[in-house]
Order: sequence, then structure tokens, then C-alpha cells
Amino acid sequence: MLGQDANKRRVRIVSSPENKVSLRRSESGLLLFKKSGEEEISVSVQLCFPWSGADRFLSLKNSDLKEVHLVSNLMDLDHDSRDALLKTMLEEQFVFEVIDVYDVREEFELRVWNVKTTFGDRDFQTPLNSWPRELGSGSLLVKDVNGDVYLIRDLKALSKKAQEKVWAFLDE
Amino acid sequence: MRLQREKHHLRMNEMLEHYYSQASQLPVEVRGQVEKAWNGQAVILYAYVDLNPQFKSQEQWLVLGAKEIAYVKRDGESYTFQYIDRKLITGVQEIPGLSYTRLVLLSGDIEAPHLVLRYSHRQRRAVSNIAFILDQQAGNKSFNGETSKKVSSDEIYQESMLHSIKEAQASVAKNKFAVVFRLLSYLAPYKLSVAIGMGGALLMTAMALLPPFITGYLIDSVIKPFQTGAMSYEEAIQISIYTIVGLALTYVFREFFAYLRLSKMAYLGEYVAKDLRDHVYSHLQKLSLNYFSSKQTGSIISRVGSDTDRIWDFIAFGVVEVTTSIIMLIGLGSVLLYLDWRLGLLVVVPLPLILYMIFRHGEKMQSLFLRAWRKWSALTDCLSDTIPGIKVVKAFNREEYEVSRFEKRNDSVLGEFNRIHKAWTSFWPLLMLSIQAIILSVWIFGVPRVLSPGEEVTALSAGTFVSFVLYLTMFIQPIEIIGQMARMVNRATSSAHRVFEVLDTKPQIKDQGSAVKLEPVEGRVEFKQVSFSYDGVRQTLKAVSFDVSPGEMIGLVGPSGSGKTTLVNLLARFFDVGSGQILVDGVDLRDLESGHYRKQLGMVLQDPYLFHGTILENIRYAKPEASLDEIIQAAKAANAHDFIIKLPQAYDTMVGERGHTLSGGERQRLSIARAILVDPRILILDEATSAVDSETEKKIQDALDTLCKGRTVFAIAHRLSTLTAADRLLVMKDGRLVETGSHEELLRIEGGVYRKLFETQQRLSGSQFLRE
Repeated sequence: MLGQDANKRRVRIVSSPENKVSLRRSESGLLLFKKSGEEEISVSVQLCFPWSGADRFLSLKNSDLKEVHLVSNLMDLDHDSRDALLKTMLEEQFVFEVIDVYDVREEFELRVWNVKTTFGDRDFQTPLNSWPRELGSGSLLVKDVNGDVYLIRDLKALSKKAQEKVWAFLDE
Repeated sequence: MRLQREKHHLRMNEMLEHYYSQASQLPVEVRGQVEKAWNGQAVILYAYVDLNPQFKSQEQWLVLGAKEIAYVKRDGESYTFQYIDRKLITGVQEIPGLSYTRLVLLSGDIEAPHLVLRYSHRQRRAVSNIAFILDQQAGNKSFNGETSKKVSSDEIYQESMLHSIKEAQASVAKNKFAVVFRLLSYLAPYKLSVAIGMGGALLMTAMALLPPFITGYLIDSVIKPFQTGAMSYEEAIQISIYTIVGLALTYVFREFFAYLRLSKMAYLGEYVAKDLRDHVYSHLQKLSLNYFSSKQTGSIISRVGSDTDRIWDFIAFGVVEVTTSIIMLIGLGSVLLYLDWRLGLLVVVPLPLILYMIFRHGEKMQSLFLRAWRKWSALTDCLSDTIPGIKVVKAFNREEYEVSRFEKRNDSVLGEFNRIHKAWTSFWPLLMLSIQAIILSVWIFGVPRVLSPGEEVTALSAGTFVSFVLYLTMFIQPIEIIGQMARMVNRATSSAHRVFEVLDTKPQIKDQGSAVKLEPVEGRVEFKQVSFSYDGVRQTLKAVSFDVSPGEMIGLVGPSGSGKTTLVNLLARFFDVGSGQILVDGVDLRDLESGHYRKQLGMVLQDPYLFHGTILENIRYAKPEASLDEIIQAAKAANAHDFIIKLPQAYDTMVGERGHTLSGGERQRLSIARAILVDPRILILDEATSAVDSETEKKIQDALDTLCKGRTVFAIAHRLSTLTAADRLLVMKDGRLVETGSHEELLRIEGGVYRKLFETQQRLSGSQFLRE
């Protein structure tokens, strides 16, 4: 039994080059997935490697969050499907992009960040023992107590003052 | 009660605005409009939605009513409203993204859902409450969407929003000074000691100011007149002796006052820390189980331990040192200006600059320490990863990799600590040099004035000048202490805050003034339409009703999450019912005196908990007055006596923390012995045999059979075969009681929940048998 399951999984993770699957976006922005011979369903996209290889291995999940298809390479899809998937991917990758850091202070077991994001000014909090993560190529990722993700894409692009504020969290 | 709720509400408002700069409740205008559209029907729940389809910030609200939901969007200065009939929603999807969640309210037409909303994870909990209710309704589960009557929509919204903050943080961020004042209120019972300690500190400071003044007096009024011949030798010697004796007395008194200050304040600090520890620990014992489940054990322990220790440090030394340093600095400045205002200004004017330099240095050090702490964490992470996982490291031959990973992190730690040392070792000499430059400038401006003829206006006596120089050396210490003040106050208020958070948490289970004692409890249990929710929204138990006769054994079965453990937790009154009633011998559980009731209740849990102590102490825990004979009888009845007497120290054997020196089955039998000793009228067995092998299970089962005789028993068991002795089985699913009957009766229900469970277990045990 176990062996059969593993085989099934192995078959599924190889995306079909013959366009057996198709994707499109509905007017309301939902991604709709159709596999030949099956009913069209609404799916969500999970990036398997959001930071280490965002354009490959995209898991398409149904409403129960179970994988219905794994796209290992965008080029395996037809043009329209790729276009629809790319648009959805851009949404799925939404994080708060930090463009300035006004202040980082400690306040009763919390580290409070006061930043400017592309979304607007925002305060967020991290536990004191939770540290930002350097992604390489000069990016810094901070996850707050609610699970929201804040990305400083290019540390060097920050103002000198902002760089001083985050200096304590860098490895250099 | 109402006042307390209002205060809590205000505090939540304040927190929401403080942390999220977000509306602390549904705008009055929106609530008014929505409730008007619903003919006055109240808003049940609401949530803030912060992202629009373009992923830009936009104020939107999702509001749940009894029949409809309202989607409210702010466009400029006004709101637009869209209403959707709840019955038309065929399903709900919550799709989590990296930093946002998408909520889709389905309509049956895949192309045109009723609504697609996007919101950051910050809003997720509040939106999810609404999604849960809509999903329950769409799934035809007869759930009316009502929330607990005790909790308002505002409270649910605020609690949902602040849940993560409160979990990570001790409590509401309050004004630091308010926390310090509250802390100082603990000194009230020790007023006399405080007065003596503080008085000692002030007098010690005053005494410290005297020696330079006396030295100046000696030079100007004795030595100089004697040298100029204005005073005789005898007179000079006599005054000198008096002055030196006076000087000696100031030293003696100074140290005496130092002793008073140190001893009184150190003892006082200990008393306050002890009072706080007692207060916190006794309050912790009163708190409900959900407080403990919402906090990490380490965090609670540190509040009783290290936090009270920090508070001792602050009260014993911090408060006095900071106060005396400020007074000393003001005193010194005043004396210097009094002695000679020109030279005094030379010293006093640069003082703010020096304090600012210390403040800036403190800021820099904070940043350096933060880096070092982070690197240190990475190093200890490496240890806590590899030491428990050493088997994996060896199995994959990764020793070299681990060594190099550790070395790299260790180098990094070294680098950071060296950076810290570089910073402070270069700052303090530089600061001292600045202070010495001030002293030097006093010499530069002072010496010519000392040497100038006495009739000149600017002339300065040698004695005044020496006093001046001596006072200058006293400046350094208070400056250093004031430099550390911010850090000291921060640490103490942070600890005090964590301690007060425990003290401010109200126990959820409270006995009424007229609570009754059932003597004895017969064991009749009735559940009448009992519903319960841990969070006020998700109903874990839904209108559960049943009657149990005294002495009846009830087996509780059902899939995981069906509400079995919640049911027995309510019976033990770890929580109070949300709605409905639990009656024991016809009396509402909430009207019983909980301590007395629990004495007649026994519990044997899946993971038996033993305390650090002997086997005797652990069995006796439930009944401290039990005789040795009773202990042995209970151990025998629990099938524990035989293994106990095989241990060299038998009943006096120490069992380690949580009883780790014993096997799971042995621990379980000790916990059964403990329950037997209490002779409970109502017994709860929660998966008591699930964590042991078949042979041990047999022994435990025999022990349980003895224990169950003549009592009302509620037994939860994963293995249905262990419930064959039950008089009746209650089958739970999704928080509801779905089937009741004997094993045989339930098996006869075609497609029944119990029958399915039983068949699945039969198949599994069959395939296990085949594998074996």
C-alpha cells in the first residue's frame, strides 16, 4: 500500500508537458484549475520555496488545502495558464515590503517596529527572542507575532538612519 | 463587576490603538446603519479587513448578523454597504498566503462567489470567527451562530486582535511610572524600615558632603592664620584636634548611615520579594486551567523566580542608589555654586553634556548587546539542536559539519563580545578624560585666583579651592549610576509588569458566597443542554444532555476533537459551562463549593503526573492524613504494591521529577493508588491505559476495575475494547452527543458513528495481527 502511494505521488509531481492541465482567473480573481476529464475547481497556490526558488515548484491546492497538482516549472504550462498562475503568484507572494525603518524599540517582552511599507506606515511586534532572518543578497525578513511577513528587500537602499536601526540584526 | 468590565474594555481599546493604530471597535456610524438595516437586530460579530483587491490599505468591515452579513467599505468620507443573506452562502474558503489570507464566500457558482476578501494575518483570528460560523451554517450543521451571551461582539473582536500580543507579552503595556509606583506600594507594610533606610541613605549623602567642607575650613581658618601668625600654635592645635575629631565623626556616622541603609533596604527587598512570591504563587493556584494553557511553563516559573529577584535588586539597591545619586548631584552642584559661582559654573554647565554622552553610550551598548545576544542565541541553538539530536548527527556522519558550524558561531560570538569590550573600554577613559579636563580647567582658572591678592574681588581662598577640588572627585559615581538608571528601571518595570499580570488575572471559577457542600456526594450527574466554547465562538460542546445514575459506569467515545475531554473538564469544574447546566445530585455545579466537591472527585489521566518526592508522598498527596496501612491497601488495590516492594527503598524511594525513574505503567498504577486513597464518589478516567503495553494494560485494567466499583465513572478510552465493562456508552461527534447505548445496542445502528469506529479498530487490529 505504502509503495503504491509513493508511486502515485511521484507520478503527480512530474507536471505534464502535454498541457493536460489548464488554469485561468475568474473575474473575482480566483484561480480556476481544470484537469482533462475532471470538473473545474478553484485552487490556491502554495510556493514550495518562497525564498529559495519562488518561480519553481508551485503547489496547487483545493478548498481543503490538499494538493491537486504540482507545477515544477512554469514553462510546462501553456501561455494562458502561465499568465494566470503568474498573476496569482504575485498575489500569493504579497508581503509587507519595508522601505524605511523609523524605530525599533523594546516594550515589555516585545520588540516594536515602527516602519514605512509600500502599504503605508505600520507598527508591528515580534517576541524579544525572535530574530529577523537574513535571506542573502542583502534582504532581511521579519515575521511578527501574528505571522505577517515584512521584507526589507535591499538593506543598502534604506536610509543611513534606518540601516543603523537594523544593524543589530545583521550578521556582517 | 460592570465597572471591572468597563475598565477591561478601556484597556483593550488602549492596547489596540497603541499597537495597531487600528479602530478599537466597529465605528458607531457603521453599527448604527447596519443594525437599522437589520431592523434593530444586534451585530453578533465583526472583523476589520485591511487589504483591498489591489493589496492597498483600505478600511473595510465584515459584520455578522443573525440573518445576513454586511460588507462595509470606506470610500473617502462615506461608507458603502453590501448585505448578503447567510442562507445563500454555500461554503467558505480561507486561503492563507505568505502574509495575507483570502476569504471566499461561495455562492455555488465558481465564477461568482458572493465575496472575496483579503486581509493581513493580523486580522485573521477575528475574520476566522465569522468564517467558522458561516461555514457551520453552510454545512447544514444546526448552529445558530450565537456567541456566548456573556461576551459582546466588541470584546470578541478585541480579544481576537490582541490574542497574539497577549500571548507574546505579559500584559498591557502600561505607563512605566505607574508600574514603579505600584511596585513601591508593596513597601507600605514596611514604612518604618523604608523611613530608616531612606533616612540613612540621605544622611549618608549629607555626611559625604561634609569632609571636603571641613578640609577647606581647616586650611582657611586654622593652617593659613597660623602660617601668617594670626593664630597661636596652641589655638591652632586645639581647633585642629576638634576639626579632625569632627572629621572622624563624619566618617563614623557616614558608615553607620550606610549600614542602616544597606541592611534595612536589603532586608526590605527580600521581604517585598517574598511577599510578591507568596502572593503570585497563591494567586496562580486560584487561576483557571486556560491561563496555564495560554502561557509557557517557563514564563510562569520565571515570574515567581527571576522576576521577583530582579524586583528585590531594584528595591534593595536601585531605588536608593538612584535617589541618592540625584540628590548627591544636586547637592554637589549647589555646594560648588555656593562656594564659588564662577568655578561652580565651570563644572555645572558641562554636566548635561556628560549625562548626554553617557545616555548615547548606553544606547550604543544596547545595540551591541542586542547583537551579542542574537549571536549567543544562535550558538545555544546549535547546542540545543545537536545535543538532544546527537544520534542523528552520528547516524549521518555530520560531526565535522556540526563542529565547524559551532566554531563559526562561536567566532561570531567572540567578535561581538570583543566589539562590546572595545566600545566600553574606549568610552569610559574618554569620559574620565573629559571630567578630568573639567577638573583641570578648575585648576587653570582657580590657581591664579588663589594666588591673587586677597583684596581682589575674584580672589579665592586656598581652603575653598581644596574643598572645590575634593568635591569634584565625588561627581563621577552618581553620574555613572544615573547613566545606568534607564536600564535599571526598564528591567525592574518589565519584571514587575510580568508579576502584576499574574496578579491581575481574575480566576474564572469562583465559588458563590452561598456555595453548598454535598455530604456525601451520591454521584448522580445530569447534563442539561450544556454548551461550551473555549474562545467564545467555536462551540466545543453543543447542547449536550444526559443523565447518569449513582454507581453507573459511562464510557465516552468518539473521534479526536469530538468534545470528550471538554465534557469531563466541565464535570471537574475546571471550566464553567457556557450555557445549560450540570447538576450533581440535583445541585448546579456552580452552586457547589468547588474545593469540597473536587475532594470527592478522582481523576486518572493518560499522562500520570508524579511530583518530586517519595512514592509514599506521591500516593499520600491526595490525602495527607492517610495512615501507612491505608497507603499499602491503596497500593495493593492499584496493583502497585508488588513493584514498589521490589525497589530497595520501597515506599521511601525517591521518584525523580515527574516520576521519570519509573515506567509509564508504574506511574499510572501509583496515580490509581492515589485516586483509590481519596475514595472518590465520581471518577474520571481519561485514556488511563492508552500509553502502555498490553501486559501492563491488563494490570492497570484490573486495578481500575477495583477502583470503579461502587462509583460513578466517566471513562474516556481510545481503545473501545477497554470499555466493555461500561454500563452505557456516550458517543460524541463534533461536540454533540450523537449516540447512547450499550456496546451491543450501538453496534446494531446501521452506519452509526460507534459502529464505524469499532469496525475501523477491528480492521486495524486485524492488520496489526497479520503484520505480527
